[in-house]
Amino acid sequence: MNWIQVQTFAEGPHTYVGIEVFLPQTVEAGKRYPLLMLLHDHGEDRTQWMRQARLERYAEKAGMALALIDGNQSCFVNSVTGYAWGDYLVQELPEKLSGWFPISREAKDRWVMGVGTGGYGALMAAQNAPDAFAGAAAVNPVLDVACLYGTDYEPKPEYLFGEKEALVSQGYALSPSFQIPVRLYCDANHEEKAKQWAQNGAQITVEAVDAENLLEEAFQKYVEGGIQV
Amino acid sequence: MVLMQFQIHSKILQMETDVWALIPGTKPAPRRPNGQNQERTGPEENQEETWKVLWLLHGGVGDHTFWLRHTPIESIAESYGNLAVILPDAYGSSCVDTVSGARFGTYLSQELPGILRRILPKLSDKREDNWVSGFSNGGYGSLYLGFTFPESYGAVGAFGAGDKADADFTNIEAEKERLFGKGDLHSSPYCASQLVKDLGKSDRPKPILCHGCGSEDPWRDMNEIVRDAILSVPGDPYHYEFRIWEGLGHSSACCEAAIRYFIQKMMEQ
Repeated sequence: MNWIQVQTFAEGPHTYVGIEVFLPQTVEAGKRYPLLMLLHDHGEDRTQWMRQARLERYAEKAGMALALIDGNQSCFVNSVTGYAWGDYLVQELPEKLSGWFPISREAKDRWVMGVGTGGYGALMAAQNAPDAFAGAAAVNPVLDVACLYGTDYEPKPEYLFGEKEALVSQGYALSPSFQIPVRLYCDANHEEKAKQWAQNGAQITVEAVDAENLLEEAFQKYVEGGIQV
Repeated sequence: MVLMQFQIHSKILQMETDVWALIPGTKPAPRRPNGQNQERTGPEENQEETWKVLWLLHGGVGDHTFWLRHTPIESIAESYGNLAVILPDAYGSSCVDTVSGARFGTYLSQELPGILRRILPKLSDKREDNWVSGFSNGGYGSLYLGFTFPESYGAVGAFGAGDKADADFTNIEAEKERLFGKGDLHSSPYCASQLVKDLGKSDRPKPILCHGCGSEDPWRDMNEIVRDAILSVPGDPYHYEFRIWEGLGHSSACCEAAIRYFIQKMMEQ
C-alpha cells in the first residue's frame, strides 16, 4: 500500500497530531476509497495498530483506506476541560482526510475501530454520531470508564470525564443499544463481561478472538466480515 | 501547513523511496477561553481548490529532508495559501536519466507527478502551475528536468547551478561514468546549455527560467557560462532572469534567498 505519515494541526484538541494513512498501492484516478479509522489503547499511540497487526495484507485486498490516529490520552472523546478529541474524530478528521486524499465523503463508507480505551472511543463515536459512520468495532474495550477512577490510571480520569458520579449526566456512559452495527472482539478475559453487557442491547454482536493475535485477528475479522465495502 | 511523508513504490526506479510534501492546511490560531472550538476555516473544507506545485530538489549530498532542515521553506510557502511543495529524494543522481539505467529524470518528471496527483487530487496538473527548482546539483537537476521534459513544467528556478558538461570530475571519474558516461559531455543529453539552446529551436513548450547564485559562490563562473548560453538563445523564449545575491556563497543562506525570491516571483505573476 501507499503509506503516508501526516503531521497536521487539529482544531478540536488544539494541538499538532500525527496520522498514519494507508491507501491502496494503485490509486485509481477519480475513485474515492472507503475509510477505516483505527484508535489506539491507553499508553500507546497511532502506531500501535501497524506494529501489532499486519494491516496491509487485509486492507489492500479490501481496497480501502486506513487512518491510524493519535488520541494522546483523551480516549477520543471531548474532555470536560475543553479538548475536543471527539469532534476531531467524528467530524474534523474525516473532512480533512477527504479534503486531502481520494477518500469517500459519505458516512456509508466510513468505519471506526479501537482497542481498550480506544475501543471506548470508537463506541462513543458510534453512540454519539451514528450519522457519521456505517459501523464501529471495539477490541477488548473499556465499557465503563468508572472503572478507571481510584486506580493508578493517569492522567486522572476526573480531568477527562469530570466526577465519577456525573459520568451519565455528562454523557460519558455507554449504552449497549446502537443505531449502527457494532462489533465487539474480545479475548477470553473480556468475552463474558462483554456478552453480559451486550445481551439486552441492539445492533451489537460479540466475537471471540485469540489474545495471542488480538489486533490482527480482530482486524481481519472486521475487514473481511464486518465491513461492507 | 501539513507535512506528509510518503513511502512511494517507483516502478521506474524499481525501489521504495521517500517523498516529503508540505501542503496547505489549517493554521493554528490562539486558543479561545473555556476551550470553545474555533471556527473551521481550513482549506481542507474547500472541495474545488487546486494547489500550485513546487517540485524542489536537493543538492548532491542532500536528500528529501534538506530544504525543511536548512531553510524556512514552510514559512515561505505558507504565506501564499495554495502552494504545495514536493520534496523528493533524488539520492546522488543529479536528477537525470543516468547511463547506468537509474532513470531519475523520468521518475521525477513523469512517474512521481502521476502517483502524487492520484493520491492528492488537489495538486494542479496544469503545466503552468508546476515549477521545478533546486540548488547546486538540484539547480542543475531543475535545468535538466525543465529542458528535457518541458511539457511537465511551467517554470524553472535553477540556483547555484552550473552545467555538468562544464564540471571538473577529477577524483570522481567513476561517479561521472555511472551517471553521465565517458568523454566530453557537451554533446551529450546532460549538457544544460545545449538543452536550453535546442529547446529554443523546437516548438515544444518553453518554461519561464529564473537562474542565479551568490556573489561569493566558488562556482559563480560556471553559473555565468550557462547564463551566456541562455542569453544566446534568440527571442528570449524563457523570459530569462539572472540574479546575483550579494554577499552570499554556495550556502543555505543563498538557498533561502533564492527560493524566497522564486516563489514570490511565480506566485505574484
